[in-house]
Amino acid sequence: MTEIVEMIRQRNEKGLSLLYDRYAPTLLGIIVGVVKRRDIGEEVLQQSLLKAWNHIDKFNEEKASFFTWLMTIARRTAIDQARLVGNRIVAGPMEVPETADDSAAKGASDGMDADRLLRVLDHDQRAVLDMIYLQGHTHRDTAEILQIPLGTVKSRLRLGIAALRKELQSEKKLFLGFLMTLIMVLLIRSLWI
Amino acid sequence: MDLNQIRKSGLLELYVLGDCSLAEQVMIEEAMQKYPELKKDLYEIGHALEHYAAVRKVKPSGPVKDHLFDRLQEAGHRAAQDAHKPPEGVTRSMGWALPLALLGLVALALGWYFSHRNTQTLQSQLVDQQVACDSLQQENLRQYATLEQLQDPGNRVLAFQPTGNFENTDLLLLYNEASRTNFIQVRGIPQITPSQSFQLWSLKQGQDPIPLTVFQGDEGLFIPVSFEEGTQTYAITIEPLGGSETPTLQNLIGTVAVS
Repeated sequence: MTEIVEMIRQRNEKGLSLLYDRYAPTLLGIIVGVVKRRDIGEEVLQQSLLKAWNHIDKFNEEKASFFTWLMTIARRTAIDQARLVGNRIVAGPMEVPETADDSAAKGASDGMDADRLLRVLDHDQRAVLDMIYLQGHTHRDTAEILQIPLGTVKSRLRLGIAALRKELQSEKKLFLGFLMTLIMVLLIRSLWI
Repeated sequence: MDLNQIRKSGLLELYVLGDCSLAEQVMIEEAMQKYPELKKDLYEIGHALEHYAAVRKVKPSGPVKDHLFDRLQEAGHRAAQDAHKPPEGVTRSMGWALPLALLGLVALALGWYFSHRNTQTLQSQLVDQQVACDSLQQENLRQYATLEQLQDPGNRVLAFQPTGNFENTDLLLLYNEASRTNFIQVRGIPQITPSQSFQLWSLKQGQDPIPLTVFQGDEGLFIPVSFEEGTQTYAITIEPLGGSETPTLQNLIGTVAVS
């Protein structure tokens, strides 16, 4: 990650290529959720990545992770685009399938099982997270569309993200446990021989 | 707010999503200096959102990456072309004498250097201006839509009745039952600290108060706020930054009956 940022800071186009390979599908998923059309989404993706390239000096790792910074640029560009086209964000289905990338169906990222990740959220939390994060609605719009109080929107968003954090932490602990066991087995085996 | 209150306020999630107000953003960045452990929280929230977004990832079609690099090359090529343009008048004097030619070469080199530097600066300024222009265009559209709502003849203008401790409160509610919109017109509002917010509540008979819009009071003369169907009275309180689930009654600054 740091290498990609450093390469882009040094105006090395390989950095942009690595950034694209690593993040473009995830960012495009967010963008298409907002603009609803794949062709417009791909244009917004290019605009977002060029903004990241041109404004890399504004990225401050003390304030946010690189993905968070990229995601903010992509969401804002997509929301602006959606408002330009339709004057407001609309709730509705996407033109592309929800999971258009085959690999996404098998794993979210870093081996995390997509179904398992989604199962930790209840229906209400998932609806709020999707509307705000993946479709670019404001909290107020979300409250009006779902016909729930604004405070409930905020608490569902917070609790949903907390559930995802907890699941990712337990996944990490499981992986470390497995790694430790493997090392112990190899160690005992080498001592035995 | 202490560390626990910040974590429970929901502001960290808004910060990572880039959805919090400027005042909230400053508050979180100050809190990060005071409580370095918040950086881990923010990292984990970003990490969780990255994984969640990855579930819905969409693979870009083949030519997108090539188009991206074509646009990058095009921008670089344009900059190089501009930078290599010789200053006017230099070519005319090239053939006269060697010293003049050398002088011309030096002038060209200097011209290229300054022109290149200037082009880069101008390009960077142009991108900044384009970004600013896009945002202004969006803001204009939003302002226009707001103006249309404010001019709606169906609006009822109702004054909030200030409570005893907040006599200087002077707020109007522009209430429109048909379009289900509410605006608050701020004419006088109590001072609050940076760790506090104003919050609107919907009061219905026999029910707990329903938390609605949280605002800072400095957003402008007219603040769009939530419309809650069946509300009998709207109330405004001062709450910790980010709002509360239940109202702080001693901080009730005013109420207005709508039915």
